[in-house]
Formats: sequence, structure tokens, C-alpha cells
Amino acid sequence: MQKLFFITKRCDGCQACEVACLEKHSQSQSIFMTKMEQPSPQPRIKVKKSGSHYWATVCQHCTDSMCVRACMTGAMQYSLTGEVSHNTNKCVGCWMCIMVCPLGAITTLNEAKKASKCDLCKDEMTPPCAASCSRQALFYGTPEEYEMKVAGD
Amino acid sequence: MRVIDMHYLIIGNSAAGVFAAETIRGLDPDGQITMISNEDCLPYSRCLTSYYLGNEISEEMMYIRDKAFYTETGIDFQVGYVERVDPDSKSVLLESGEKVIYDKLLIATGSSPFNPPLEGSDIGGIFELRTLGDAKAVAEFAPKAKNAVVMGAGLVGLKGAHGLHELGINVTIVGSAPQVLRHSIDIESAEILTRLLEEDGYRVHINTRVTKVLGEEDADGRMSVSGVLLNTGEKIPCQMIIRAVGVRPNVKLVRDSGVAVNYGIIVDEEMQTSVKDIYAAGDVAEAFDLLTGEKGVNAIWPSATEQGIIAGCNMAGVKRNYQGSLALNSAVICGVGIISAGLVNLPSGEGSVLRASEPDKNFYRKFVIKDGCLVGMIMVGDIEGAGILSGLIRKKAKVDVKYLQHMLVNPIEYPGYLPVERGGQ
Repeated sequence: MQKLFFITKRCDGCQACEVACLEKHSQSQSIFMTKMEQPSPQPRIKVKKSGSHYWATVCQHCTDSMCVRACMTGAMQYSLTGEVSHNTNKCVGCWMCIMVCPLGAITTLNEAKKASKCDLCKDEMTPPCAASCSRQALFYGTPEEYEMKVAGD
Repeated sequence: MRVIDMHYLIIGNSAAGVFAAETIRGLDPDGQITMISNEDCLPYSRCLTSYYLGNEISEEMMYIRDKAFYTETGIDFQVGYVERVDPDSKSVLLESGEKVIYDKLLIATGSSPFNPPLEGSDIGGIFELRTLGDAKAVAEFAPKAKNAVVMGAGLVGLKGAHGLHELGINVTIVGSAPQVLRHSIDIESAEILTRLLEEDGYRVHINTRVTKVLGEEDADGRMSVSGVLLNTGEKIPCQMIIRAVGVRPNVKLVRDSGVAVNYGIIVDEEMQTSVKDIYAAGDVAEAFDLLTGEKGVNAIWPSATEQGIIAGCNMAGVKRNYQGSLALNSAVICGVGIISAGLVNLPSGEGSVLRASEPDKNFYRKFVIKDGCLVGMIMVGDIEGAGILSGLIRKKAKVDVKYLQHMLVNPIEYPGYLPVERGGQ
């Protein structure tokens, strides 16, 4: 299973990933129009300064996932390939997933009464957040690829 | 009598049963799995009955798995009521007289509403809100009612009240405790919720009991509810009542079987009961608390699914230990989110408390610290990041108090490392 890995030491906090995510998850697919949209789209990756470094909070698609266990509607489920997929049609906004996600990677869409998290943009070759990261602080691939290509540097 | 051979038998098709079945199937692709439930339907979420009642979701959305669930997972689903478990012959006896044999048995029968004796409780118009059937019965009757009384101010009571309120019914909530949600939150946050409910048009009576149901003959000559009498002497007119004062584990089927029962069915770390090859999980199981180690039933969805997974692993021969139940509750009352975790009310003199409150903004946070560890928290209003705190409670790590003080009034964010004290775990 491919997912997003964040490499702290490469990140300079430019937040291009947030912008790319926001655009991708907007109805208009245009960053200039997102402010006008109702309900307003939210980025599913958030970059924050933490001490002397930056940290990007994004769903890690855990294999023994707390949110899948806590979800009382069956909206959070594993896909056949192992990602944690969130079916927003089933979501009722009970925030049980937010109650248990130890990374804080799930946010609220209050207007829509739905939870929101990274869906890995499965219709793209590479998720726009990773593609937009000029410093390659976001790596999209399998854990094995991550180990081989990134962990050693 | 038909005797069927099989391997895994699961009684109950709700949270614990479904997650156990999926876990077993993942670990043992060839094993035979049979699920027995007394409800002839796909697995659904009991937590959603109030949403269904309030017309917020369709019946289809109640189901936590789709139509292909039983066939895709190769589960043999049977409708039946299990009367008795017989460990000697490794079988269960159904009400129909059928006997089903197992190698490994999981009891995931859940719990049922518990109703103390009440004068007039045989009158028509009195309901429970546990099953999909209950929700349908309430929804069918609701158009005849203008006023309703909900007995019980716990989560089921408040959610049921919300469902009726959505239908335009005037709801009075009657709770015997000194606050609403007494098992999950503290008195300060309960006061915020009570105010929100009253502002939205609910009437909330705490420290109050219904002593008698009043009835009158309807047009067909049947007795139906016309009101309730409270212990304060006040009469509240209503046409329907939901009883939601509490639940009891469904343990009847193991009576005299040798399976040890205290309040629920006692299980060990592997979710196995006192009898080999019989496991229990979910609302019926009495496991132990993660923080206190005390035995007890923690009847919440996340515990049921986790226990189901642990039981499923051990039944399929993969050893996995349960870490203990953590009290976790999330509710949305009048549009305001409330999340609580762990021990929210320590006995006076124990531990310390950090608190931030802005009642007019519906914002409240309370962190309970004991021996340097975060052991409990309540968040009202902005609930994002709650899992970071419940994760810290689960880890039992010594937490940097400065971090907690910061989190008390700021957005809760994961800083990329565990904010534990130096020298901590």
C-alpha cells in the first residue's frame, strides 16, 4: 500500500501541500475560487511549526486503525488495498474518529457535519500535496520504497 | 434435530461480532464461521437509532456493512435465539430446538434495556430505544404525540430526546442523577449541556424520578399514556415515553453453564471466559479498565470492536492481549460536540485538574492529571485533536504539564513527538 511519508528535516514550512490539497478537494478545482465555496473546503494535511522544526499532520492509514474501530456508522473502513477510506455519505459527524485518532489527522467539516481526512487522491498518480512539495518533504510510496529511497539520507 | 458441524460460532451480529468475524476470516480463510442473531438483518449500528428516529438518516445508512457482507466473507448467517450454551457438548441450543456445534464460541450478545418496576408501565405508548425495531416502533408512534417524556439523562436518553425533538415533539428529560451524562462528564460541562438543551426547548429535570405513568382510555378503548407523575409531585402531560435508564448485559444464555458471570461475562486478557474455547466481547463482556485495572463492563462501540478483534485473533490462534478498556464518549448535543475520555471525576484529594471554561461560547476543557500522567479529559465545543489527548491517556506516559496548559486554551495539535516529560516512559 502506498501512503504519504513526511520527512521533517526537509520541510521548510511553505505549506504548498496544504494549498494543493485544498484545491484538489474543492468543487471548483481552483484555488482562487475555494474561498467562495459553500461548504468551504478544508485541507486534509496541516503544516505547523513545532519548536525548531515543522510537522505535517496527515492520515497515516494505520493498519490497525483506531478510527475504523471507533466509527459507529461503518463510514471508516479499510479498502481492499489496505487504505483507510472514509465514506462521507455514511458519516453523520459523531466525531468518534476524532476522539481516538492519536495523530489528530481527522478534522471536522462543521457546516457539512462530516469528518474529513486524507484520501490519498486515488485518481491521481501522485497526490497533489506530494507533487507540489518542492523540497520533497512528502514522499508517496510503499513503506519499503520509503525505507530504500529516503530513510538513509 | 439437525446437527451442523462447524468451527467458529459467533452469537450476535453487532460491533463485537462483526469485527471478530472479519478478524477470524482475515487470519483463517478456510475456517467455517457461523453467526447467529435474533435480528434478521445486516449488521447495523445501535448508536444510530436516534439519528434514524429523527429522520436524519435513512434505514439503509444504519447498516455498517453492505448487502454482500455475509457472502463476501463466507459467513453462514442464521437467525435464531440462543437459549443455552452447553460447554460439555461444545454446542449451543436455539429456541427452535436446533443444536449448533462449535469449536470456538464467541458470545457477543450485547445488552438490553433495564427497566426497574414502575406503576403503569404496561400502558401503551411506552418505548425503549435500543434496536432498529425499537426505533421503527417509536417512529411509527411519534406522529400521534405532541409531548414526550424521556426517562434517563444518559447518552441514550439524550440522543433519543434529540430524535423526538427533530420530529417537532416537545420533550421533557427526567434523570435521577444530579446531572446529565453522569457517567461520562463532570458537573460543569453537564451544566453547559443542560443550558443548551433548555435553550433549544427541551425541559430537563435532574434529581428527579418518574414514580407513576398516568393513562387514559383512547378512542379504541385501550389504555394509553397521558402523562407521568414525578417524585416532586409534578404531573407532566405526554402521549409517549422512552425509557432509557440503563442496560444490563445479556448473560442469560450462560446460566448454569459454568461460564463465570459477575455483572457481565468475566473475560481474561485474551477475551476468553472461565471456560476454555468460549470467548466474550462487547457490552456483554466484563473485561478490565485500562487505567484502574478494575473489572467492569465498558459498554461503548470502540471497546466492543476492539474486544471483537482481540477475541477473533485469539480464537483463530493468534495470541493477542487486550490492554484494557478506556472510557470514551463522543456526542453532539444541540450542535455542540462533547468528547470525554478516561477518569473525568477523581475522588477529592486525588490528582490535580486543569480547567478552562467560557460558558457563553460553549467552550469547556478539563484535563485530569494523576502522578504526572493525563488520566482523563473533557472537551466541549472545539473537539478537534481530542484523539491526541485520549492517545496520551492510553499510553500512560508522564506528560509535560506545560504542554497540557498550552493545549487547554489552544488548538490541540500533534507536535511530531510525544510531549512526555524527560525521564518519562
